[in-house]
Amino acid sequence: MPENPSSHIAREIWERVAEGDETAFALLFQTLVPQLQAALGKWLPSSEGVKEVIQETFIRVWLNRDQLPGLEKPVNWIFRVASNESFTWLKKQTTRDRHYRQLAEQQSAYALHPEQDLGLQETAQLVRKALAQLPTQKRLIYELSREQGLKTAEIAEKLGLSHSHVRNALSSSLKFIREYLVAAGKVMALMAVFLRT
Amino acid sequence: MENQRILDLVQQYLSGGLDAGDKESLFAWLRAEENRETFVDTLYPLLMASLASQEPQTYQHEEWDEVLHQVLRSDRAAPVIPLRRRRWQWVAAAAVLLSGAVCWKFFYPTKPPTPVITQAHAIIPGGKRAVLTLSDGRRVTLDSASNGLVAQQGDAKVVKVDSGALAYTAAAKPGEAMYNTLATPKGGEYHLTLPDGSQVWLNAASSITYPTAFTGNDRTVTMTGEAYFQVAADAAKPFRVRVEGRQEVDVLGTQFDIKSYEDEPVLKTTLLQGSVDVLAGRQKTHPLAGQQTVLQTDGRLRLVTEPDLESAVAWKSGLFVFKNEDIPSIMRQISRWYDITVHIEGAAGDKTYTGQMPRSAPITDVLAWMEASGIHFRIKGNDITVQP
Repeated sequence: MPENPSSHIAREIWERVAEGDETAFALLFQTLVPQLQAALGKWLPSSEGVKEVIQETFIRVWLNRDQLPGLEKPVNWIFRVASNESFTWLKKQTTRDRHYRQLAEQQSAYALHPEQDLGLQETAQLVRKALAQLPTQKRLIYELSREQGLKTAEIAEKLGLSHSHVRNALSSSLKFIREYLVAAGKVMALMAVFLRT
Repeated sequence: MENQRILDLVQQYLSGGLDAGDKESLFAWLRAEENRETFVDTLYPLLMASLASQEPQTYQHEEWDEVLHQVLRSDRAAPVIPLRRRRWQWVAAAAVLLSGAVCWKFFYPTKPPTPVITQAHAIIPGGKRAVLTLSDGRRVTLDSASNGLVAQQGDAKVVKVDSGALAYTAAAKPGEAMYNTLATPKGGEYHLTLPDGSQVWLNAASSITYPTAFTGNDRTVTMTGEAYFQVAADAAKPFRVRVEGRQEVDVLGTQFDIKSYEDEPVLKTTLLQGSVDVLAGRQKTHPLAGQQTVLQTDGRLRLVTEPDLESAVAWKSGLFVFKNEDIPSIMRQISRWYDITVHIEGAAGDKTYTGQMPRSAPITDVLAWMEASGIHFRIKGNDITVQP
């Protein structure tokens, strides 16, 4: 499919996002969100829904940031994540629907299973719990990256480690966070199909 | 349940028009996790198709900045903004002060933003504007012209096919060739289809002079500024692009960009596809697809085997892409598109910057980005002075 030029993102931006550069991520967000909003709005006529789907999508993008440069078509992957999050959101709607809830109270046939309604606060809490479980050095490296805004090269210099050691540490910490979230019931899309060959 | 039907039901449900029976079926289907893949496989191609065909959209700060903020907080241990303000969080606060302007920056800010930026509202980004000069010297302003026949040049018809696009229809028996010139002002861009079907995209402050019919042994056009060419194959008539007094490109069915602004230090010819010969003075170079030639100020024609293709043709995709560019270089691009005059004081031109932004971005966004990157300036009407 021909690319919409307005959704084009320069290679450098993906690489900076992978490094944890918030400004590059902001740029990515500002470029893609309007396009994603327009496309989603066409198929999900709920502005609240679209907002939630986009928020969840970009949380996933951010938590998968180290994987982004390895994708052949990262924009396509993001849209696939959005499709996935759309299903999750619709599923949540079924529990939010009052009529459905009433039925569930009356008839066991409609019994509700506890839904993993991972709102934003819960996601952040789970991430914090995951981080608390990291070994000391990895946790320190993550903190320096996120709390202090240091670049990987700066962290390496500060701790007397190699640049690749720091990058690998951040990458494995992100992997741990993602696995922790999956174990807690949050669905995370697979990237396999989108990886660069 | 049939795939497309699911989406129809979803839309009906969200619009409130679904009866209880259908709602139960839909809900049951959605609650089955095994249906996730099917749903995604149905929705994803539709989203991609929408993306491919939709118009460019504008980012609404008021609507989305808070979401962005929340996303970036998802993996922060401390829920409260620490005392030492994070780079872009400062920027987000500043964005509110600057009435919705966005700040993209790659360096720590040195000073809080000034109110200067609000004065820049009158400066608008470029658009589809050009002036056509016919063979008799008559000038037609194309922005305001309506679609349809603009002029008749001998047997050739000159038609405005759409806003921003001009086309020449080849006459059955072309008579004597007449020359027309299409020129864009600062802040203008235009698309032209030549009588042989070749396409030209003109960037701002550029021009192209061409015959209304290619009657001779070759197809020669002359240009200034920057243009992107997609040349129709015709082995019998080689296509030649001249930049008067500096360079000539001989073409064989291909796609390339020529950036020849007088105020740029070099003349760049970037070949995307096909085959060309680049001639300058007595030098001749034959770049391959994906390569670039650079005509330097000392007259030397140099071949670049791995050029930055992305930034060379980003303009055609509606983007500015800067890669390790200094302020003078960035400001030259900005001034051509926003039709402003830029002055640079002192040693403002030392650092380099990397970033991208859509050409549709208002000047307030551009200036806010620069301000937050530590570039200071003052504005007076359409004059912007960059200060050290």
